[in-house]
Amino acid sequence: MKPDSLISVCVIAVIASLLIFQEMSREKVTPDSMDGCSLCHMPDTDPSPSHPVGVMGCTGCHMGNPFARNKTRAHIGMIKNPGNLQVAGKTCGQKNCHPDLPGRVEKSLMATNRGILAALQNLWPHENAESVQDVFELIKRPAGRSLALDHYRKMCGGCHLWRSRYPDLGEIGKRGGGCTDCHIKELETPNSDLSKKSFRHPGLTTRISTDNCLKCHNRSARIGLSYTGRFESEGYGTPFTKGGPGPRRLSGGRFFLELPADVHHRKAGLDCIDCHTEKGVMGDGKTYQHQEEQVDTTCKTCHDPVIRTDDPDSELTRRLVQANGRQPTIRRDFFIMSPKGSPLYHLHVNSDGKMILYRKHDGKPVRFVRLAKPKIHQAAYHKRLSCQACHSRWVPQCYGCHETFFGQADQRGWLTGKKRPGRWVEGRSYLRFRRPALGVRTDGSIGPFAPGCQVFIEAFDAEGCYMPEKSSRHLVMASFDPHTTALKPPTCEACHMDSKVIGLGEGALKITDTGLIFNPVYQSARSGLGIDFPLDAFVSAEGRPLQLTSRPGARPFSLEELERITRVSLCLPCHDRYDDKIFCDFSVSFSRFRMGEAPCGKEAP
Amino acid sequence: MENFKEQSTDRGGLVNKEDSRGITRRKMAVRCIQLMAAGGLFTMIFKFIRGVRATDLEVFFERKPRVNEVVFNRGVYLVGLEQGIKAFSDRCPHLGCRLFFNKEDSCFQCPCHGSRFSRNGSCLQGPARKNMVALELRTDDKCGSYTARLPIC
Amino acid sequence: MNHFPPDPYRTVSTNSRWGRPLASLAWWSFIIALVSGVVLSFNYRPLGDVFVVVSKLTHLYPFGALFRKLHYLSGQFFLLFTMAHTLEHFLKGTYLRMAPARWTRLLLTFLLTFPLVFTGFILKGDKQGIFAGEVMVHLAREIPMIGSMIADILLKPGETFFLRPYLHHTVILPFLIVFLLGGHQKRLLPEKKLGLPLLAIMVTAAAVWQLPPDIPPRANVPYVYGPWFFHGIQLLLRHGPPLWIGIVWPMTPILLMAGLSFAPASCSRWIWTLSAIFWFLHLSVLVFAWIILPRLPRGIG
Repeated sequence: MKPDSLISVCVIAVIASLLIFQEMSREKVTPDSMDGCSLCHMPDTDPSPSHPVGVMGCTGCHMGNPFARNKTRAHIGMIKNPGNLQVAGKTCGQKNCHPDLPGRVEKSLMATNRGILAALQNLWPHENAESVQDVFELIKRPAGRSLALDHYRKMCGGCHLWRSRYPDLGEIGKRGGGCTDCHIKELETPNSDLSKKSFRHPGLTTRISTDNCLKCHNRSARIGLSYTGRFESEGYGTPFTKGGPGPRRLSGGRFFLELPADVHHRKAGLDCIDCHTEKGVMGDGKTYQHQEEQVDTTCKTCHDPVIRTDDPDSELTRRLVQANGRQPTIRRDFFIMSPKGSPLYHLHVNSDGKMILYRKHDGKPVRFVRLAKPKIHQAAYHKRLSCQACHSRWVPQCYGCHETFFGQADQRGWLTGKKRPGRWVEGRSYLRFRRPALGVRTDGSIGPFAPGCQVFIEAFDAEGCYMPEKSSRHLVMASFDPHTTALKPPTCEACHMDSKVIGLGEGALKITDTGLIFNPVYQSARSGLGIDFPLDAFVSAEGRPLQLTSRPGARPFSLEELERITRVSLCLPCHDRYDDKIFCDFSVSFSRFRMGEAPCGKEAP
Repeated sequence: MENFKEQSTDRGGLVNKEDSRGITRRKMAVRCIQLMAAGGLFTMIFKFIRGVRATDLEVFFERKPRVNEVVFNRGVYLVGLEQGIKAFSDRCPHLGCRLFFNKEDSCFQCPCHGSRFSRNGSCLQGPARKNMVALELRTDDKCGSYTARLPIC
Repeated sequence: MNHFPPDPYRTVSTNSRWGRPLASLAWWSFIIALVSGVVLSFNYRPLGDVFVVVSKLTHLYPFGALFRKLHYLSGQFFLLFTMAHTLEHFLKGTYLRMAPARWTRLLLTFLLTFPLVFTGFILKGDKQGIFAGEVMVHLAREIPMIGSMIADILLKPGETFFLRPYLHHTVILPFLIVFLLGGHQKRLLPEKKLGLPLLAIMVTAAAVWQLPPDIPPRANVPYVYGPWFFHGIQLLLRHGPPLWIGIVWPMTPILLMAGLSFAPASCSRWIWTLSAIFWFLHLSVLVFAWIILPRLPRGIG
């Protein structure tokens, strides 16, 4: 053999021997593994019984190169959080997994924040050319000159599903993450543990606890706090403990007082998801502008249900029950659907007609009544009243939102995480817990209203000069369900004789022949607000709306309505029963009283 | 020793001895290296082609079959017998065709060459000479399910 | 010494010190690629999740990475040595002393090395391979009249995305190359001694060199690269019409070279010069693309 051929053969022999030796000593991927990730990472817990690591592997969700041994090669394209909406379509939304869900979630309000953005852009100083419809458009754009959107970026933009989870600490760090914002059971797995052979994988669940929703829903209308019986207090941290602020703390350096929680929470122990269906929360694929359009539940859904004898979507029911994993296996003869057609698989009707709800988080039965007391609930004179109008015990009312924009300072934006010029400083006039003011909602029903928001904006440019063209104010009252449902409604006087509830504000109300005379307690002008009505006044005694509303058609009571409501209060001290005959046609009864034809009292006030 | 030729070459003292077949030590060494190289290459090719061993398949049955009931799932027959529950592979031990259960005769039958097996897997009629392959079976007492382990070959 | 362009009126020897070795090396590279390809085909499946198949083949199966690298390197060497061999004969003016049909046939063989390597790039099943396949199909569709037919022959999108490129890469193109070479390779077989050293070099290189990373198909990456020899076209496709950039521009120097043997002697030097200019431009754009493509601004993935 020629020398150069011999050398070649030697080289081949040596290389082959080395490679064979290397292969024999290489750690083998176990036959049971779906991919090679287990060589370096092996969780001892599965995310959930329906996501077993041993069956699905890791790369099905986390992507990356399934069998590469080298860390860099294996981690190309790998996603730490598969629920991130940027990639959810390829991970959670794969063909054989949840193909319809990411598309629905991207259009839902928790991802688009359309309502918040619309409110800001309609009412705050804004450059129309920069208008956006939803937050995803805003993420892609560089910051512009609109103060409305700047406020969103720096103050409101921390609560939406496009936000990446972490790296911030505390509550803000737990918000966002797409699908994992709700479906991950919070588990503090340090990054350093992930490269260990065994670690605890964060759990996935459909039994989302109320605490999870409270990550975001403890601000603005504060419905999460109210539902659980917490009222954001004035910030002193009283009562003091050992000389310092007490333990009743909220995020952002706030404190709370304990007030009666919503009866659904207090008595029944229900979580948000016991009422709010997957369609209402994740959306149904349509793009909505406001929360009441997307929400898929009403009080009547459970308390006055439409009961069917067939299940129009038995496959979905079966899958939801299986995913929940806590529902008892019982035979069902009756079925109840949500307004948008979601099967309420946890609601059952007994053979005796009684309702049972099996709690989603533990399957415990809760027996409840349907709409009882027909004399009260079907009284013709109260037919416009919503359930919340009577059954909302209190609502946190944050009056006067004073926003100052300092162009010469910087502030971090939530969308990009980067500091940008301009800093917002926020303060309020005062905060109260009180029965809400009532007004007329868009659909014509009467419901609770609370400040949402009463904004006084002062803007200063980068040189610290006041910008009058960007300084403004707008006072808005918004209608929403306070989530402080009480079993017992207030007394008749609590609405008919309360100036605050009928929308006039706190003060002294006098009913005279010539009309209503009202002396408010709060003096806005003397308090330097530059308005001539109190902050808690929705309407004047003359029936003039004093504040804007956040929906077209929503309004305070008109003068006629105010007079009709207050007129009843004159008779209430004696006529305090719903079935009192005078209320069958109160106008007639009142006229008879004025004419002296009524059996009681001969003198008209 | 007529056939033995002794040659000396001036190659750093290496004496090149040839035997009757004309093979020198040097040639032997070269042959060994060639064999090593070729052997190494073929070993690598063979190991690569062979691949990794596939895992056994676990086949799940939700409930216990009644006596005389035969349930099929993914290549496994689960048979309820008076003496207990047994699992068999659906492959004919003759040449691997898939057996079907003949309800009329209450036996397993091979559509390829006509072999027949009783419900307890024993061979009733050839050309197969072995019984049906019995599989490892485990049961979950809590929910009454059965899992059979089917080797992948 | 040769003169450029080759003088059609001068007889110049087409033999050189480098000519035969280059051709032999190309041929041995082809054989190594063929054999390693056969080995790989035992565990390669062009259906289903091909990325996982390739990942298993590369990282899970014993010596899979070695055979894959050997196949890749031998393929690249085959392309490079064939290019060098063709360049050598282009410079020497071999077409002047060769029957036009034979010159064209050999040139076609050279041309087929590009789709052979390109289809191999597609078959790795990662994001780059998939996108390369899509681009190939769309470029083919740009050809007037027969574009759709050619695209269908090349690749069918969907569940069997990789099947037709696999057929082209493993059967059709190698067969065509061997057939078109005809008796040409008989002249190379005497250079057997180059085979083992080349194999030794390739095995060593395969043992130490790292494959470029495979990009998972679902990964968000800001930029996807095609095969190295395609980068120039990839850069130009950002700006120019696909038919001209993707089909006409690469085919022009080949067609000019093919025309050399048919052209009358008076024109051959002009055609040669034009062809050389086109090749030079191709090379310049390619080098420029290697420099500029990684520095282009990245968008959101």
